[in-house]
Amino acid sequence: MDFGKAIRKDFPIYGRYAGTGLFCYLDSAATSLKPRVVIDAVKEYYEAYSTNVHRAAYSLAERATEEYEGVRAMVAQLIHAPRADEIIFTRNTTESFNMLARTYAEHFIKTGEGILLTEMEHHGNLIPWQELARRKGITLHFIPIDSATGALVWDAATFGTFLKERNIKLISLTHVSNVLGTINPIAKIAAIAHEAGVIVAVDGAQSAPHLSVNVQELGADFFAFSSHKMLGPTGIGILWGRYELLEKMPVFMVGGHMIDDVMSTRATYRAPPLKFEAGTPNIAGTIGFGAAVKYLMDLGMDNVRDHEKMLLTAARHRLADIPGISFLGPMDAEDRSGVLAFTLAGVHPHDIGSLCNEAGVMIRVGDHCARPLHKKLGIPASCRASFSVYNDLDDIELLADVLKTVQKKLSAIPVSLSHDAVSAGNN
Amino acid sequence: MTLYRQEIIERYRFPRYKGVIKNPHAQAEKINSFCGDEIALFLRLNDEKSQVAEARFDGQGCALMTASADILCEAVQGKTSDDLRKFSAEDLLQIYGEAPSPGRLKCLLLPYEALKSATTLL
Repeated sequence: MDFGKAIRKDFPIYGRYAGTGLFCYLDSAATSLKPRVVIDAVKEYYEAYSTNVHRAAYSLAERATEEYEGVRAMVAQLIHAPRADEIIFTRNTTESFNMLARTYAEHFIKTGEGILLTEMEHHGNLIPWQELARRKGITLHFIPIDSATGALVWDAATFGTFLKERNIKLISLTHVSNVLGTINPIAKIAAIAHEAGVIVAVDGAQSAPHLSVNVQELGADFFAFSSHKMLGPTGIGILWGRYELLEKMPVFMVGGHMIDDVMSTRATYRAPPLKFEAGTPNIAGTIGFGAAVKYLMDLGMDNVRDHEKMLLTAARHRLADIPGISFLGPMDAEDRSGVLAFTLAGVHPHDIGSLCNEAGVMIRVGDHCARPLHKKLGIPASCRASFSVYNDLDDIELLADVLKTVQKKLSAIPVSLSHDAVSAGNN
Repeated sequence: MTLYRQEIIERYRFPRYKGVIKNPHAQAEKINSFCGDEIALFLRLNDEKSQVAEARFDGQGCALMTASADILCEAVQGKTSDDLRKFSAEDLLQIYGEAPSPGRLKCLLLPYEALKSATTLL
């Protein structure tokens, strides 16, 4: 299967910047590039059958409904969900967690009970729980991380007791850290959680684009991810949940489209997933996402993983000899996925980002929406290169060359608090 | 086009106005919690208290923030407190030369914010 340079022809944006020498995209963890098939699927919907779904009295709307609903089955296949009607379309991962916090958790978790998160969560899987905790008097607990290895610090032998003692009712944790790249042991955690009667929600925003995900083997009860990080359009996300949980989960947004019958003063709602999809949905985005899922499945998620593992290993090797570089997260590509975050001693990440930009290298700098994690690591910000199917060794070569230049240019005298140059005032 | 022309890099690596003024007439600290940059700006007036005799900055931050602080300390030398009150962000950007991207504007303007706070104390 082809990857890297061999498939860049599938991504029109590479053609747009061909010959400029200024298009080295290493920020796919923020959002990925889109292949022609995705752009064409969105265009085809708007040009050939831009009609509404689920209210067909005519053929074009029937086609729209079929294409839209067909994506549920494809997504279910991608993550090995048992049923297509367990796939809820949201706007993005963040909305998926807001929905979960506002509905299932709001209803089933009581004042005084606990929710367990980890220290490596993206704000999207943190702030919704903070708000819920504040509203309902629920306590948040965190599985700590080992700053050196980037791994969660937990003990399988005592974890069940810990959950019971803290009265934990829900664990919400990331499958893959968007900063450290750590692949968390979801299946092991979920197995113990379930014995203790604890529900497990998984943030798959950084795993679904890069790994073969099997929600049943993971033992997840809920799994959330975004289209735009996996070659699909923006504005479409997924919340998968076990059907029996979705059946008892209260509604979130209400209005048209999700109702069964409506009287003047009350209404009844449709079965999942439609009861969670009020109003006209993002039809074009969903259909585009279907094309992205098909593109990824044709490549094969195991092949995607192998390609990115090769890139991660090469990047660590190639960048390792840059003076002052420190990598965040696990050492071994086997234990990590997709992203490689680092700092360069004496050079501010924002300067690295700007100088990389001037050389056409696009990386992310900042806290990557994971500020508590950066506080834990004792750094205000970091740089992050992240990979996808279209990246190749040439991207890593260029990144390494640019970082070497940046290091030479800026790091000679690190700027730090100095109290040696004191000028005496005379007022 | 680069934000990092030679003068900027030199002012970052060898800032001319980095330091602390003991017993300043005005002093202000600013932080950018987004990236961890922090700056303290010190102003000392002349004996007549009519003009800035000396400005210094201390702290840590990126090259743009550091160079901007250095340029600012040089620019305010000899200014009256009235001049300081009139001194605008555009004035600083003009002296700085390059127009930063919107994402980096905050780095350049952190020293300016410190100056505005310090000016209120004069």
